Amino acid sequence: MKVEELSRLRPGSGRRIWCVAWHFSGDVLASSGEDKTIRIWKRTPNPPYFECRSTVDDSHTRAIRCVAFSHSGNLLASASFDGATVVYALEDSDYTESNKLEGHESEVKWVAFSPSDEFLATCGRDKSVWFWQVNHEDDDFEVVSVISRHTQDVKFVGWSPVEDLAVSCSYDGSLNFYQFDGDEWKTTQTIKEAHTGTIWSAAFDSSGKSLVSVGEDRHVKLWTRQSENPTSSEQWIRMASYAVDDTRWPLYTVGWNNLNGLIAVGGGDACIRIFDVAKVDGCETLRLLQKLDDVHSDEVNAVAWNPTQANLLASASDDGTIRLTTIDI
Amino acid sequence: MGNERLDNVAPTLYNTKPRERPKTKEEMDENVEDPIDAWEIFDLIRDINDPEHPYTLEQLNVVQEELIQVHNEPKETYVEVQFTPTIPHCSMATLIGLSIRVKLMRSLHSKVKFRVSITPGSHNTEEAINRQLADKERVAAALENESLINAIDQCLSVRE
Repeated sequence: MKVEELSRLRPGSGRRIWCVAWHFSGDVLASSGEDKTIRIWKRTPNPPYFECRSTVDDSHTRAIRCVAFSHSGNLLASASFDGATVVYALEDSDYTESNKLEGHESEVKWVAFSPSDEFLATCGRDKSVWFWQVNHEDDDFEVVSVISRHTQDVKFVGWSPVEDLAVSCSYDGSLNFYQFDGDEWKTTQTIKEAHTGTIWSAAFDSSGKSLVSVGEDRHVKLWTRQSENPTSSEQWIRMASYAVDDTRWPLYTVGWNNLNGLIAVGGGDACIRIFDVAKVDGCETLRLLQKLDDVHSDEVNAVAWNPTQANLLASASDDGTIRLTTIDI
Repeated sequence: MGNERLDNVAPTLYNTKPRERPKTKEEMDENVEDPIDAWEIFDLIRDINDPEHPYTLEQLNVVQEELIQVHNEPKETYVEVQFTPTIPHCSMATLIGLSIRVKLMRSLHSKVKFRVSITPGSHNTEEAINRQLADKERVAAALENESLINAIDQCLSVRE
């Protein structure tokens, strides 16, 4: 495996960066963090290949935990510890605040658009997952469902890339799956004790049939979908589990490359580990391919594979930098 | 009147350790590099004020040098700090844990990693508090809460 640093981006504040997210074109990256600022980085022909073209620093009053682009690229959303989710619309090549979604009682931890961009999911400290529907006539967002199935803090909510199916990860150690019944969002499956302790993140593969999750217990777990019948209570079952045993710190983030199938996992030990799924004796297993221990000097909070350039990984860290790394098999 | 609201009305006071660092042979030798040790960590946190009483965490035996472990490993320096609430239902345990965390965060290099937890068996809800103290996101969010950060700064202020 050939690993090279393409670029290191250092937002001025030097403070913890919580999140990085790609625009579908692969040419624009958004970052957010403790400095309450969203930065939009655009690809340029010369080193460092990405340049901060605009910043938004007046939409939130506390740390911005998460940023996400819509799949059309026309919208950007941010989730903050201040309890609000803010949506920005693309106008004259800049993202400007268009909606403020309020309702969560306290910190919002994650936000993500559904593959069709019709729905937005948010989750937070108040143990709930909210599904918002975009009304394209007046570009407003309406609450469709508020689901409080978790017994603790909900850390993450993510979507299948191919259908309106969402998953949430919680401090309570469980995974919840959700589907839309045409009227409201329903919990289709709860996997209790999916991990021991907090589940920090999860990611689907390109087919939407497999999922990986990572957590405080330093395990990477692979889940596959056995049935597409939403009334089946065992749609998802665990296929494989990999214990990362050379660290004592949680695994915080996972990204599944939808172009080449590689899985990147970032954690509290400042390392990024690259996995793939291999068939051994007919069974799917997680295989550690490489451990990158010199990309960041502090905890890795987010990893994101570029959606068009298969070998490009962006990562965000407590060391105050965003790294762009090329990883070729 | 105020006393009735205290969790522990009459806490036991303990003798404090000498301020002078015990001198070891290695330490006198300038050719030996001094790695961080338990005494140094103890010295950072011994004077933190108890949130309820006009005493330090050392005076109340909440922190002790013996409850600090330092692992100097090739890839990281890892510090484990245990603290003992004065009573098993102490409602201030989370605040004390956060104060220790903040003090260490402000004093130690970011390469030094640490974990702050309750001495096993010394609190009714130790598992829940330990989980909160180990959750970087919860700690980060808590430290953005102005009244909480004021309470922590009170604990960390130097008493006249």
